[in-house]
Amino acid sequence: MILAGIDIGNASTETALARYVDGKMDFLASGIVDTTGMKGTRQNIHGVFASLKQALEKADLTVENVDLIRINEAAPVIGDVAMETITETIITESTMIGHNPSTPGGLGVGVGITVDIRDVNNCEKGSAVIVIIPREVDFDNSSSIINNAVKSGIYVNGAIVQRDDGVLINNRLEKKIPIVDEVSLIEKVPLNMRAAIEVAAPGSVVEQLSNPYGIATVFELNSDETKQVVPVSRALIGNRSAVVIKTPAGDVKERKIPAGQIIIQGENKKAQVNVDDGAEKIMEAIRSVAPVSDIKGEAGTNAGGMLEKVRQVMSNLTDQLPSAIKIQDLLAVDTFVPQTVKGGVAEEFSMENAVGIAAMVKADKLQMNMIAEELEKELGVKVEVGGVEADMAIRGALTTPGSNKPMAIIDMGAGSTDAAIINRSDEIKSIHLAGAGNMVTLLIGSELGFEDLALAEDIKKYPLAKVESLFHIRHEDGTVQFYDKPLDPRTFARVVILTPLGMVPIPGNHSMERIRQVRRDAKTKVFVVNAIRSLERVSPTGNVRDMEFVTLVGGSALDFEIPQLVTDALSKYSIVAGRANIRGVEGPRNAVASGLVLAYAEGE
Amino acid sequence: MLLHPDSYWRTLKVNKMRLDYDAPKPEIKVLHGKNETLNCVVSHVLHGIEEEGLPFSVEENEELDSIELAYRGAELSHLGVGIGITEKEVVLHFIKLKEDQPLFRVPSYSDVETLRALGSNAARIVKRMPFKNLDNTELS
Repeated sequence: MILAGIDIGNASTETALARYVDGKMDFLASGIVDTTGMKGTRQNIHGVFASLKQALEKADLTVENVDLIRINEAAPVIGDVAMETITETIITESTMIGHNPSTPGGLGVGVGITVDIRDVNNCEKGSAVIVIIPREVDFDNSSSIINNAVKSGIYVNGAIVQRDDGVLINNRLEKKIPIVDEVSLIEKVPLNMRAAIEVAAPGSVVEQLSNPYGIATVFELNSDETKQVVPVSRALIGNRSAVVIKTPAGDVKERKIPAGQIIIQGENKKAQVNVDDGAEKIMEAIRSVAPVSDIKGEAGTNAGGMLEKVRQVMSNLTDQLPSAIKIQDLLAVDTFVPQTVKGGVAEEFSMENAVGIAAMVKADKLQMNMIAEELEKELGVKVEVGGVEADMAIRGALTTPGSNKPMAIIDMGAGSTDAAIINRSDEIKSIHLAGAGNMVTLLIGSELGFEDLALAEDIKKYPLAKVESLFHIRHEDGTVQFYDKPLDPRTFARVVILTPLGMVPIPGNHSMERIRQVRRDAKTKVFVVNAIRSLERVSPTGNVRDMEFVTLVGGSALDFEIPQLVTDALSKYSIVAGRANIRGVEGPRNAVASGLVLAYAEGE
Repeated sequence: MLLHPDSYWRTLKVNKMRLDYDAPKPEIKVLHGKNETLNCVVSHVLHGIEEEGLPFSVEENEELDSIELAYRGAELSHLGVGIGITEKEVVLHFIKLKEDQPLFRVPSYSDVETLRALGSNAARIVKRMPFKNLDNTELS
């Protein structure tokens, strides 16, 4: 007989197709497509069709040939992610420009009153000014206006320019001044205010304005006022050019948003922890009250909002009341996110502290029986719901050459990290934890400031390279690769993602080293932490060291570096851990689908 | 490696000779056709190069095809970067590319921003910086 095992996962639907004759199981083909709709819902059926069809085509069979389909009793686990910043920089009635134009003009520090360049000749002789040059005035005009003004005795000490004209103006001036250009929102620069402008030499960074006492010196601030400019100087650190404008009621402050408390209700104990205290404290609290029955956030705070949002999404998906949704695990991760500084003129941002949270909900029961019935009706083939997902995964994982019982598997998916252990007497214990591939994507996206999660997903999945000339790239490890044909000019001198479809240039000025670091940190913060957390929970003694063999399965185990990061981290506990190779051919994929087929042979 | 005691002095002499020799300056070569109306186009392109801080030199040339002109500029330029300007179009060429495949080409009637962006991009090949969009904004 021909039978198919189909596994509906959070991200992909996999099929294993096999022929079973005289007690011998012979695998024919496998299929994999993206899961349609949320796991455990009616929409999954389209994905099941496509996946099955793919496997059948590979084996030159049709649906009529299939005698039995087995689908998984999906673990009723759904994960969601959220991110909340806990600090914020706001500038009120005061302004700064701290962006990095590629070619500012001039050099040094200049102080004066801001004035539109078209009105500069109305200024009194001997007054010190900073001219504002909007788009309408070109570099030829502005340089001659400045030269004339200087001749007639006005001290022009600096310029703020809208266009990319800094060097052109500077080259035409008789007396050199610092010039900051490419200030797009120049109309926001207040006029008739005292301003300081600084441009550093190529290869250097501003020193005066990135130092609170430096700002105090230029603006003659008292000690209280100096305290208030600290966030401004902090935001200017590392820039090649900067402008600070003091407005009368100038008031800049860094304000902590009340992040609120998270309340963790365990089965026996209860813990409360402040989100401000960071991820480590939160995780410690969760460990201390385990097993967790529900997690809530303090009403009216960010923490409350964040967890309620997760609960709301889950309730929509599972058709249950939000109050019936219990959050049973939570992974909190400390991170930084670039946030636009409120009150900045050139869309400056500062890195603010944030907490990323992945939550895991156990739904009542997913409607797998409904899916099975519907499939049976449509296909005219007998469909049955096979055993528990974790049991099937272990059965599949045991087909990895070189593996044996007792063994633990860590299933690293997109929505959740699941772990299971099988001992010599075939007893299986399994758990589900929040946080997996989607969380990594979220962390990468938010830390680098990309709203486009597809881009963050690509950064997660593929290695990087730097395009160094029109003909060669340098890989992350420093090796150089040459091409016969010139590369796309849009990738020139950029950091690119090496996807199978070609090079994707990454926007912004992030260096390859930084993107790589962010990517690896995100993977470590989620997968290494979760691998250890999950093994602690399934280990018969509660100690990670008492495990011996661990295989990694699931979509995220296919990643080019996650398995290495986990292998490396677990080797410190003297555990043999590595990526599974299902049936010796499938790699870490198809474990559950293969397990479903194998379980039939064993009469389950 | 053992050096002959004289070899140090020999290399010095050679270097000195090279210095005496009329070494080509590292500059971007801009070649343009003979036509008064082109002056404006040429100066916009030059401003683009100037803003990026690179040296350049300009030469008037017999009217040729713009791509040919640009490629000849790239050959003459010590940096391998040439710009050819004719009444029809402005072409940016790089010595390592095939002659019939220039890097950028825009019509000569393009606006100021585009012409300046082309000049900036000529400089950016040398500076190894991401190219500007042809409307003179930074590529995001």
